[in-house]
Amino acid sequence: MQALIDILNRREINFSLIDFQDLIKQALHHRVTGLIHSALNDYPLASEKLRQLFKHAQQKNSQNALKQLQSLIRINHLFQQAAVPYFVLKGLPLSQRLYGDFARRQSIDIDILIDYQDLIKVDMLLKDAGYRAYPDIKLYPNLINKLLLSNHDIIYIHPNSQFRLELHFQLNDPYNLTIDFKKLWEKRRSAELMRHQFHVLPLIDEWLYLCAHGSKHGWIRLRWIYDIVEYQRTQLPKNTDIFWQVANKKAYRYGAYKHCQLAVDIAQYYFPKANAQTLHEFPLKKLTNNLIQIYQKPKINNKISIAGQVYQELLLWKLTSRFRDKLHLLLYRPRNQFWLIWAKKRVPICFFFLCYPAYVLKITRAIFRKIFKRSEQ
Amino acid sequence: VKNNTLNISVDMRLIRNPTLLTNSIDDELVMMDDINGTYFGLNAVAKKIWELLEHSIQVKSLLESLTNIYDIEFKQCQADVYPFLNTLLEKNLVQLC
Repeated sequence: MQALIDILNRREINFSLIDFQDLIKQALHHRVTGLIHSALNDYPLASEKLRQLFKHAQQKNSQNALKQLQSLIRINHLFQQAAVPYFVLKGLPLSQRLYGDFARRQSIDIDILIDYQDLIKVDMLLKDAGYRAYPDIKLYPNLINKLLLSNHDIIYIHPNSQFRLELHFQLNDPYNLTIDFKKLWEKRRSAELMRHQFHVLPLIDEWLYLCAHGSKHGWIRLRWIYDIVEYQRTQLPKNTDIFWQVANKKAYRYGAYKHCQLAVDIAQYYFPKANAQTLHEFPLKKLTNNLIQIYQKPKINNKISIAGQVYQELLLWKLTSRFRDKLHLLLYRPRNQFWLIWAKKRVPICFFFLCYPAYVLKITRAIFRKIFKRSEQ
Repeated sequence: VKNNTLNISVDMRLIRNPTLLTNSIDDELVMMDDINGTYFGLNAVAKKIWELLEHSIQVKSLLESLTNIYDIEFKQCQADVYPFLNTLLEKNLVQLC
């Protein structure tokens, strides 16, 4: 991973000491093949073999990005016809704005944010367009209330193109970045991509989202860190002081200030060209230094394993700011695994409450109370 | 191709198909036909021609630009470029205007 960081920092490198196959493998894992391919232009001594390896990877990225763009344009058309407001999170528009090329930032899916009140309508729209939802559950208002407690997205896959869409109805899990969609929509921005207009989040909210998203996943992809670096380098207004003041306030309000602290510190740690002034805005350096040390253990981070998941859960616990959020995390967090089992085993809907430990606790408490009341009588 | 080359004349005006999606990789170009999802790859010279076709352009002007850029004879350029333009027309990657 150090070689990738050095290349992205344009530091001097002895390419004869690098195992090319390992480098491309690492770059694929960290989803930075496009960025490395571009950075290699600044290394005239890099071998042709290495360039060709990354060019080949970038050709694949490019084809994939074109396929994604085609699907995104269709979805844009579909949502516009149905008058459904939505934001494109990260993905192609972000890549275009940060790197000047929508295929530079390697991604496997497209993330879209809608108002949760439109969820049933959008679910029907997508299913009519041939998409399948995972888990495939028929949505109804009461179920959406439960979903809001524990989930923030539903995955849709088109069986023909295998195009994967993550439909977010919240920016993140409920213990951070609780948003008011209508307020976000009022401040929406536009991003142009191949003559098509897409709506993206307001500046500060987008930065907060990138920070919260990366921190939540333990920064297992180098690209997420580099996005923060480039975002701070290219997207911030001239007067950065105002940006940081408002971002700081919002981060506290959203309960995501630890996530932001971690993002800024990690970006600064690996890429010194990231904006150093930001460090003074968030007063949690000790925690962040500990987390950077955890992050540096590649055996945990480089594989999506049980150890990696446990690490992410622990990290999330540390990052969660308020007592209420910690409680929420404790009670509702195990839902992902339940949801998967749910989807695969087709568990009847009457057992839905099992996804939520809080309900089990409530039922247990109610039973205990009844028993104790009887014994008192 | 020989028959198709007859279709192109220096007086024709051509323009890119606006629905195509494209992405550059170094000096090459990857294109995708939005309707049937087919990919096309263009090398550096083909990419240059593609760039010249951004706005409506007469074939004669296109050839003159290329002869200036690549320092070749007009006839030679015509012989090399006509088959490519025909292919673009066949695949609906460019349109007559």
